[in-house]
Amino acid sequence: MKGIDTYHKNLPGNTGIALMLFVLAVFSLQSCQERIDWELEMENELRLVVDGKITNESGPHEVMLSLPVFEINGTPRPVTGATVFIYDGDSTYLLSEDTEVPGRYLTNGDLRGVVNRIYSLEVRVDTFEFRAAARMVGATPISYPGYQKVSSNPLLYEAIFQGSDAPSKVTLEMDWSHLPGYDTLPAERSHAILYGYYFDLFDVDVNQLFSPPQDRVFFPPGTNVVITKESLSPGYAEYLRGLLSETAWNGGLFDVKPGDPFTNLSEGAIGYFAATTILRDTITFQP
Amino acid sequence: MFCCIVIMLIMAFPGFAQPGGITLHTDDVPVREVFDRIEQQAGLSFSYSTRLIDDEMPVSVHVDNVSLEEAVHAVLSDVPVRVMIIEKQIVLKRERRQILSTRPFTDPVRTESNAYTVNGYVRDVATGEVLIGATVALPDGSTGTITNNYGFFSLTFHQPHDSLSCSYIGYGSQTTVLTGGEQAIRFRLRERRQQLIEVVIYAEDEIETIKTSRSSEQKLRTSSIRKMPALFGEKDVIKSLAAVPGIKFFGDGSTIFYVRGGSRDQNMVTIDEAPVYNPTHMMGFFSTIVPDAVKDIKVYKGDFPANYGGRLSSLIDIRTKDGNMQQFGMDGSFGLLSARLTAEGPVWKDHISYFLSGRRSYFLKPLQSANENLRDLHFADLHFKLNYRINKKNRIFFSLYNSEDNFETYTGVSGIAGINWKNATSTLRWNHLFSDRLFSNTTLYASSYDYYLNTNLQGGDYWKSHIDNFSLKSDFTWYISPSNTLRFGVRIAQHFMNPGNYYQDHRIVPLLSTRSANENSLYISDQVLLSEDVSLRMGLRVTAWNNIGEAIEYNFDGNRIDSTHYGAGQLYHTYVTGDPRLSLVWKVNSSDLVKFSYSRTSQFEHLITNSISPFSTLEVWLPSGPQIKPQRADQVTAGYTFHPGNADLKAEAEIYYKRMRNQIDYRDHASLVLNPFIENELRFGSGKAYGIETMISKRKGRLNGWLSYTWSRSILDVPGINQGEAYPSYGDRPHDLSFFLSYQLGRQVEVSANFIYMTGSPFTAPTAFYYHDNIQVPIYSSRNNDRLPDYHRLDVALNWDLRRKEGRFDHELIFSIYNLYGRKNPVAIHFNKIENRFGQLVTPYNFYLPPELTPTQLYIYSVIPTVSYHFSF
Repeated sequence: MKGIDTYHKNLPGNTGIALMLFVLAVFSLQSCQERIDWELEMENELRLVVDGKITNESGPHEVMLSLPVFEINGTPRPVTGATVFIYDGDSTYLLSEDTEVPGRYLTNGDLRGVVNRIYSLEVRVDTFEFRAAARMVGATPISYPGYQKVSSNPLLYEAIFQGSDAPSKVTLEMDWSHLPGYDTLPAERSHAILYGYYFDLFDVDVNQLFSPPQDRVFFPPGTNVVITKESLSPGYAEYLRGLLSETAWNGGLFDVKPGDPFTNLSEGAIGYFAATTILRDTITFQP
Repeated sequence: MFCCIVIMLIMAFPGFAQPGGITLHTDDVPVREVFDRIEQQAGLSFSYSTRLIDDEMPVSVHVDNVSLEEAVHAVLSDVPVRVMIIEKQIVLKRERRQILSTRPFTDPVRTESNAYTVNGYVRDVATGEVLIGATVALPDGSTGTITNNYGFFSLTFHQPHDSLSCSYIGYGSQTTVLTGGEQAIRFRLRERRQQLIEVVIYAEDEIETIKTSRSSEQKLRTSSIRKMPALFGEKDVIKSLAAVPGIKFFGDGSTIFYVRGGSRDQNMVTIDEAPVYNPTHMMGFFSTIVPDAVKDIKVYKGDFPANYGGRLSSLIDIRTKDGNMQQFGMDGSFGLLSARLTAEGPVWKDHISYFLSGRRSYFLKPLQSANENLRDLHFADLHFKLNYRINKKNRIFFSLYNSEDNFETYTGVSGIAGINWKNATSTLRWNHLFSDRLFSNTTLYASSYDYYLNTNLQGGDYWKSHIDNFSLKSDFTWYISPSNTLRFGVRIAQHFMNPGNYYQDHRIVPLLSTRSANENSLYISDQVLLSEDVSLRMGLRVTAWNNIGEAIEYNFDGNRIDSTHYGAGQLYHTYVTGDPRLSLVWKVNSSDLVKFSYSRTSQFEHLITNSISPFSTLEVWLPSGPQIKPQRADQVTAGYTFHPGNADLKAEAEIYYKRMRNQIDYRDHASLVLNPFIENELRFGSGKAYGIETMISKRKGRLNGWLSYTWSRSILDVPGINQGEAYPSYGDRPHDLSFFLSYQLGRQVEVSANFIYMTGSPFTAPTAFYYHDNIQVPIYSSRNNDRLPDYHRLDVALNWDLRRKEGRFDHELIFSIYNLYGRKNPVAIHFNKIENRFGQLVTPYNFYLPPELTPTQLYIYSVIPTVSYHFSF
């Protein structure tokens, strides 16, 4: 599958995609994307949103319960007062609701995920019961991102998720607020959380290959970076792929039919309950 | 009839004395060329039977300032002809016509013993090109037919008739004398170049008869497509189909179209009978067919002929030019993006001709200057045809067609990446006349389509999909009598498909099984005139589709997947379909025509894509097999045409209802690239489409054009999609209004305008959102629950004819403005963009805080002015 790795590595080449967009723009002379006011016909269908994760770390592990928002950029409403269990095949763990963050349910710290074990989630809200199950898969060593100078400002850098890897999600939590000149900036201009995804061959999708231009994040040398790598089970990878189809990959050259991301939750709930192996590393970026 | 003859004679008499002063000095020049000179001097055109006069015969004539009659007799010194002038035509008839005219025409006895057949071809006098769909009929229109795709006609009469007329829109008509016996006739029509311009869409013939009329069929003329305003001046055969009621285009920048609610792969575009699987350039901005190469386009949306099969919704039957049998000619044009050049001429005069037409884009350099990463970007087309008229009974055509798109860019990682796709077809046809009444065409053709996604061009790493077919078919037309025409034929075909595999160093990394199948079809169709006013056409097409190994087929049973390997050549699955066709045409009176039709169609090849992009994307085709049943459709239509005999105006209306089975949709976020279990991503259901299409057209005069309005719906019902509820298909755009108007300002200038309005396309909009890691994710309640804004656009063009009165060189300048009032017609609405600090609308990357999303629309064109130049000689 080495060839496939190469395929995977090279296809989403930003240069090519940007160039194709450029060509299309030239052809259409004024081909354009612009803001519009669009009145979405929201349906106030109350569906439970679950964002839960069991990891190989000692915990506590959390399950977030909320309701959808019915306007773009709306604030989610937490679901409180639910009863949440996790069962690992031997024991059942009751999660307790975080008193500071409504809708957040935490394990008590004595649960630690084990590779190949299946974890089951049960959520009871009023008279409704929702269930999910997830198998934890192992992780391969961290693939460190690359960094390149910003052509318009050689003092700044940007991270590039490159190469190939087993199905995984890599998170970069970046902080340069401690550096001179950046310490007075608003938090959102001196911090960043970036996500990179690696999927296997069967998860290649057309809109992934020709995704739309993405925003760029520039940061200076000396930035502290926490790198977290999560392993992806096939189901979790499918969920994330659907999520990206609807977000980062949507609006490119080759859009696909929209749809809700895959879920492992029952009874019409949305979101995903994942069991994932996590690897972490903290570095201070120096070119 | 006698009265007609008397009237003709009366009409002829006063006109006969008018022309005079003909001077001719020729030596060993064919009669037709001498006639050309007489026509120029007299200002009239000749009409005669080539049976009566061998116009290829060389003659020498030297006369000065003689009358027309004297000039004609000098030319035809050995032929006893009578010269008459009828409606600005010099009609030549055999002298014994007077005797014939006194024969009792009232003989009602219809027996084979006194039956006689006249047949022949209809050609353009200047080029020798056969004319498809020309009307050949008795002058009173009571009996007639149209020429077939090879310009051939055959009529059998049981009573003596005096003459036979031939007409073709845009050409002068011609009348020839009937001898009363078996007769081979060559009609040679002259194009009315200086006369009034016909519109793009026109009926089969000028006099619509119950025999020539057909439901849901329309023709387009390329000469008129040239006059339509076009994007970047690129005259586009496929996009001109937007003029046809019932055909809806995706939107700006796209050649994807939908016919009567069907999906995009249910339309077959054929060039000289070979299918072209992806007739698009630049991901859909332009179509691949060079207009200069096209002779005739027929569009079938229903009431499909029995000799047609393989697609559910439409057939776009494109016939290319044969090449000028008489003289060398060239044709070309220059636009903003590409140049076209055509050459044609005789290899052996009147026997072998060639036609060569090519187009290539030339926008690479300007683009490279703006972006140094661009290595190549071009498209190109090539049409070639060789036409050999062996003798009166045999004719051979050989045609080739190739198109290519190539895009290459330096990536900086692996070197060069890009996209490439190619269409290729080749056709060898043999026309043979077994008898005066039995015409046959045997065609051997192949077509292929390749799509490459190059990831490392130097290393030979790429993704590739492929489809091809190799077919042999024979079609027979038996003109049993004027009231009965029988068509039958057979086709055998081999299909091969590679649904997309990855290649490394040009060697396949086998993930997906390739598929092979053969397809054997038989059809028969009979057209019977039940009375003078009613025509019935019955047909049946039977197809056997066989899947053949080597292949791996997967059987899906819940979460369990079983695979079965079939060895090379092993036949492992068969479908047999019977597709009946039925149509009835009733001529209520001289101006009203009513039509009914029913047709069933089957489709065995399926484009697998869940793309909603206006651009042609990675194309994967799969055959019917154990997991994919053939798509089937039943369609009924009822139409009404109001067309007063000689009036310019024509009004048409047609209602249709189409029921489709085994329609393909996809599970959410289906994985269709490099997925061995690709069939497991498909969902199957049914669909229905119905609507009414109306059109009023004015086909002649300084002001001509049409106005059409269509109301239609298209609904899909696919279990597992949209919670099992029915939903509108993408082609569901209920209101569709368009008009085209053309006005001839003078001899040299013509202005035209084209307007299109359509209800916006349905699309799936979010009905809620949720958050995952600060990523705002849309939630959908139902499919295609919202609509894009309505589409409308006005284009204008001015054609300035620069041609001088004398000489062959013909050239013109075309100024056009596409989307005159700058309407921004969105092709997509998105809800996942932010406006970054540079003012760019991009997808968010930093999720430290939830990004503030904004709805955005993507539109392709605003106002686009263009100038292009076209020449021919």
